[in-house]
Amino acid sequence: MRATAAALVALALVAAGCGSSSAKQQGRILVVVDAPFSQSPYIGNTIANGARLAADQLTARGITTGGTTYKVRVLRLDNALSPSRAVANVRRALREHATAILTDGTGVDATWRLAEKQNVPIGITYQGGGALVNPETRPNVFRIAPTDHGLAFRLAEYLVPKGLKIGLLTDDSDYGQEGRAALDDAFRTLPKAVAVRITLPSSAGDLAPQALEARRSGATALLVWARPAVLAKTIAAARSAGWRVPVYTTPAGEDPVVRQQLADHPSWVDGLTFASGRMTAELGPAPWSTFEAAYEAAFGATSVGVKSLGRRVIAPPDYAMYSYDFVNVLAAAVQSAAGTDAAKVLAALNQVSTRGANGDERGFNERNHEGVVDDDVYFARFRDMIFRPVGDDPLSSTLPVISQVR
Amino acid sequence: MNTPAVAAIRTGAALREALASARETWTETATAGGVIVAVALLAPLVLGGLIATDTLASGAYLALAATGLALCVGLAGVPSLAQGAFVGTGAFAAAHLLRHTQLPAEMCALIGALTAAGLGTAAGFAVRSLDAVRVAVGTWLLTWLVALALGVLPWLSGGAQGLVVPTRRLFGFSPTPLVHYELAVVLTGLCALAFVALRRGPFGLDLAAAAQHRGAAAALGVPMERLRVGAFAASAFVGGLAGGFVVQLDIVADPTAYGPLLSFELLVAVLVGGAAAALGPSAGVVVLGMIALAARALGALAGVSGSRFQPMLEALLLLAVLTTGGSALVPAVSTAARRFLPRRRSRARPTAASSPKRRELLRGEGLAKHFGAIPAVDGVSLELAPGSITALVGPNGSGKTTLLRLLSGALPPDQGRIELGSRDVTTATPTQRVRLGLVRTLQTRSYFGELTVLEHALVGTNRTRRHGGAIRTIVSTPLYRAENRVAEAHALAALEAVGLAADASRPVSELTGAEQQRLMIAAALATNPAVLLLDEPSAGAGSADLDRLEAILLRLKADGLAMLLVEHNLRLLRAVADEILELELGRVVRHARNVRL
Amino acid sequence: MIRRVTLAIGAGTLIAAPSSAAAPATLPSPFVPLADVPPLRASTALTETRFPGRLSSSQLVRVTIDSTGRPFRVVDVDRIVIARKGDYSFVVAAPVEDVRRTAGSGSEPGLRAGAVVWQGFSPRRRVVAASITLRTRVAVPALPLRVEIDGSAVQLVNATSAAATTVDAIIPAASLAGALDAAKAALEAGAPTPAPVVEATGAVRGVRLLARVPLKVRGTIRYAGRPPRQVAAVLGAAPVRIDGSGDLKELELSVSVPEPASVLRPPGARHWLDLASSGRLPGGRRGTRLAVNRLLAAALALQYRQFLPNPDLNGSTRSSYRYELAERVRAPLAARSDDGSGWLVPLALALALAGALACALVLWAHS
Repeated sequence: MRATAAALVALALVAAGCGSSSAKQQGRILVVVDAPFSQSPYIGNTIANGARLAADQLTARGITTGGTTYKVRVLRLDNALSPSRAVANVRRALREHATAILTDGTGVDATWRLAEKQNVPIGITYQGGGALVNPETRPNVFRIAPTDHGLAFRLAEYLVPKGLKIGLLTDDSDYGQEGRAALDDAFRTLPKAVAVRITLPSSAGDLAPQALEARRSGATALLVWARPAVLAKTIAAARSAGWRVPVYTTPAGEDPVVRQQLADHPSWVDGLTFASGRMTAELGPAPWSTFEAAYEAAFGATSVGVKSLGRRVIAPPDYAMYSYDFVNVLAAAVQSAAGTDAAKVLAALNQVSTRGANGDERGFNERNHEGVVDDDVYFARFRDMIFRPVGDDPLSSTLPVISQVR
Repeated sequence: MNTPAVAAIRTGAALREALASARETWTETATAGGVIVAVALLAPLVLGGLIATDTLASGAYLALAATGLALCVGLAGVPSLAQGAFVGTGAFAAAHLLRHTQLPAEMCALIGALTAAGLGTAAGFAVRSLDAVRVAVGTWLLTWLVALALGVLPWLSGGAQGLVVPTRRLFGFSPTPLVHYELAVVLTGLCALAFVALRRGPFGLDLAAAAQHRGAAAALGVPMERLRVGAFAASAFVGGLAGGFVVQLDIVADPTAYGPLLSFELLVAVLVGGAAAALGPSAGVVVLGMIALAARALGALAGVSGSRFQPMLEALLLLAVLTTGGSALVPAVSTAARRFLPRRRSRARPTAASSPKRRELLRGEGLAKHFGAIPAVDGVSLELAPGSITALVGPNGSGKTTLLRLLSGALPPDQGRIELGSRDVTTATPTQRVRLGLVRTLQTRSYFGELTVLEHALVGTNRTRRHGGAIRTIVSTPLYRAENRVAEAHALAALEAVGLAADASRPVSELTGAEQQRLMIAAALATNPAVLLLDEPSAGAGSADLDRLEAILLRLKADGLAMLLVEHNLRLLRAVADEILELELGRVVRHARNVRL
Repeated sequence: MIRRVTLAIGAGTLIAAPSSAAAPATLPSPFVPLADVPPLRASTALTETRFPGRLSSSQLVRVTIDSTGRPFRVVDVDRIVIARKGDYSFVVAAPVEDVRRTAGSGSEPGLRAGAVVWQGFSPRRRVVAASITLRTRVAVPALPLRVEIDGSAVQLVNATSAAATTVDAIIPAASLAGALDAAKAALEAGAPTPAPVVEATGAVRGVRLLARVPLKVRGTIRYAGRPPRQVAAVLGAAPVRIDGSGDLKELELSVSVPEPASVLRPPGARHWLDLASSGRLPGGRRGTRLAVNRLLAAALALQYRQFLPNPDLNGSTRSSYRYELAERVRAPLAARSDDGSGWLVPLALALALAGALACALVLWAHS
């Protein structure tokens, strides 16, 4: 009798276990981060951390669809800024059945085709080159990052009404040359606004000759599209010659390297104005603050290495926001597709939106795979090593100041 | 019988003979190599789960490039650090062709290889007469030049995104990583076979001689500079071929992938695996793969990317191999394995047979050579008739060696004329003079220590060959093999003439000093000379050796050879010389016939 | 006698009293759509709708018809003006096939299933414009004009008719006038109001009516070898037939739908009340029929002025239509592979390779 009862109990337990396990199937959403961890650790870690934060939050919250609960996992692969390594990384991602691939943009010209064969989306969250994203010819490539086109046109839109004679200075890196092409496009119908176009040699230790050339051309403002170190050298060259020309630049301006290299001359940084993707939305700074707090709790604040009025300056994780948002959009696509079937998820990416880290709607559509529209570019100006949105731009004037000191 | 039938019969006979020859020369090493290649072909089936096929394919192309580099480093003894540049040249040439033409993928890779060969030829020409250190520096600079050009010319390299390459069928197959892997293994195997054939053939022997003793090789007429340029070209061709195919595997020509680091890694693979072993470079690449795994593990421990550690570990390994004097991997394994294998019965050698005799008169008229204001040779005239020995005597610094160098072509005369038979050879190079029958031995003991006695003599016979070019060597044509037997017979005859035929298989380094001197004479005889210039052949010889040398010289004289003998040994001079020229301060002060000094 | 008449009058009064009692009658509201479409709708995933101020939409619907008059392409060029500064994010739900940015648009449109997506920031005033290709099968029933081409004859048919069940009652002219004036004023202000309720005398019956809105059609038609003919008509219930001879080569017609408020404009007066007080507006059933027809037509006019919905329910929308004749281009059939000769090329290659190998062997044997 007792034995029978025990057997029945055991059977019931087994049945319950089987039943419960079949009711909650486990699934995996694998996000592969293909970034230059060895060559540009700041960029690589920023992208990976944003993805990881989103992954952890989504996993904690649980993504359940089609009777399956999904966990989000992030795998980091180093591309070392090499297109061929990016190809090898994407091949590995495909072997591991990645749901999506996040990248800084290295090697996308080669890798998109490999991923497209298996309907795996690629999300670019750093490089802004125009040719990288095209919904018609590259249906699986998406981007959440300010585009070169957007930055260039917004800069032109912002600067030309000021009546300035602009010196366009670009460095000889691929970043600089792509920026040059974007600026040429933006200023094509405004030739009189451009005083001079100069290419800055990246390897030069001193850019005084180029600064002098710009000064002699009659430029009353400099628009510098260069990597952070070259930007810092340009500012140093101009300021050390006593030239107080206003300097405008791209998101490279907010890179910590610029302030680090000019730390001995904080006044040289004052007035530097850069264009970048907005961090807050019309809803207010609360969503961004929540995201920033969660990011810093997980990974710590990124110290710039300088101080502002005695307080430590940190770099807001704005680029991490892009990878964070992409993972969230991906999760929404998985839910819309009721699973991780690649073709369905890829199609769903064009149809879903989600609330982004800054509170704005973030999503793509069949005609536009850019998650940061040109309108979202704002301008900020440095003072005392921290930046504030400018007041003479309609969008920027609506944005609050983000705290950058701890 | 009609011509096609004759051709078919001859072809069949040649094939049968080739198979028989292959069976005869087949070694355990060849068997091992075949097994290794077969296993390598099957590797994806076994390792597919552990190592991605595209990673295996990349590694196999790296092995191909490294095997190509071994043609330079292993055969020619030249430390080339430009192989990465040649791989990159092949890659970008193929990439541009694939993007802008409809040529088949294989053709694009071949053209890429030829482009790299062109660059390799130019590089070889530039470093043809430099020493090893300068070659290393020069080729390293070339690699940097190519890397920088790719960096600053986006139209050439595609910029940071590289040049995306369209995929095209490869030999009729869809270009999957597996197809690339198998292709790479086959090409590497073929390249290794070519390496073995070249190493054993006249090309390899000449290069080995030049690498071991430039002076001795030059004296035997080895065209060192031409061979070095050829080695560079061949090495670059193989590297370019690897590049032309690997770019199709990668589907992008990446300007960052073919820089100095690649050249360094290839050199490490060759040196660690074994430069003189056909599969040594491939083994070296396997070692590099293991280093990559170790680097990844270190990176995981340190929390950084493993690729930061890889070059450091490779450099440490290379330092360890070079500084401890350790053997490279494959030679070490081969040596260990030979202890357990039965000693192979040496194959039958052909019967010694002398080459047809050449008899010419050598005439020098009014020869002069100044070093600055000092006349080393001043208005010297002489005549060397067939079947005679002319002795050249004089105190140290009288101009004897300088005169020999003028006659052999090692130095150009400031004035005067040299005729061999009816031919003016005043401006002929040493190699040309050797081919025409004028050869010299060196004053100091000059030998090729890593060769055998027979191989040393064969270096001499190479000058007489007509069918010993690199292509014929690689494909082992019937004429090449026939000429091999003739050359070996002539070499044995030359060794017999100096009494060293029984030592044919011994390493030269095991001979005594006098034997080595005689070997130098044998090598000179193997060139089938008409005139022999001997510089102190009795140096260090004992009484018995002198007797032997005297007998050799008298025999050669009786054979009709014209000889000029620079000697201090009066006994030898008295015994063999027909005429004696005495030099002092570069001038002939006495000319005696059958004279007792 | 007098007593009998008085009794009769009293009895008659008693009998007549129920029939003359007031009853409420609800007149049609011009803000309640009669037809299912327009505006065209599509189911789309919910998305945030946010914009500063008001959105005004003006749409040009380009209809391409074939030689039988059947539309095979419908493209709506939708131009939306955002009048104030601020972020905007909204969709135009529609059966979209394709969307392209048009010149002058301050932003790039997005495309989702069943929607055109607009997102951005308006610095002060922004115009966004897109050329929206619609799914023809869904869009055609919403078009106001039907063109029927039979040989050389072209018939233009007003396709805006819609059936409606409405009121039939005796309503005093003054009440009708008040309702009409109020509806007109609401339409002019763009402020929807509830359906007007008036007092009717006697029974209020329901009646089914066919309403339509008059269309103004202007354009040109040209037959082969003949000069173009101008077309100008107001299309009501009766179709307009245009006869010609020869092949129809060109047809371009602009169709405009009157302003809803103008449909309720009283003839020869500023207000309907003026007409009522001057006795020019009939009361009773006749007047009711007139008022109902006008209100239903105004409702249809409001519908047809919004071919695609304005995301701002209170925003102004205007649509006009253009019909063009064009040749329908068929998609080319995919080329069929020639199965027969597929083996020839590989065989030829194999033979060539074998021959090359044989030649190489012979060359090798002789070298």
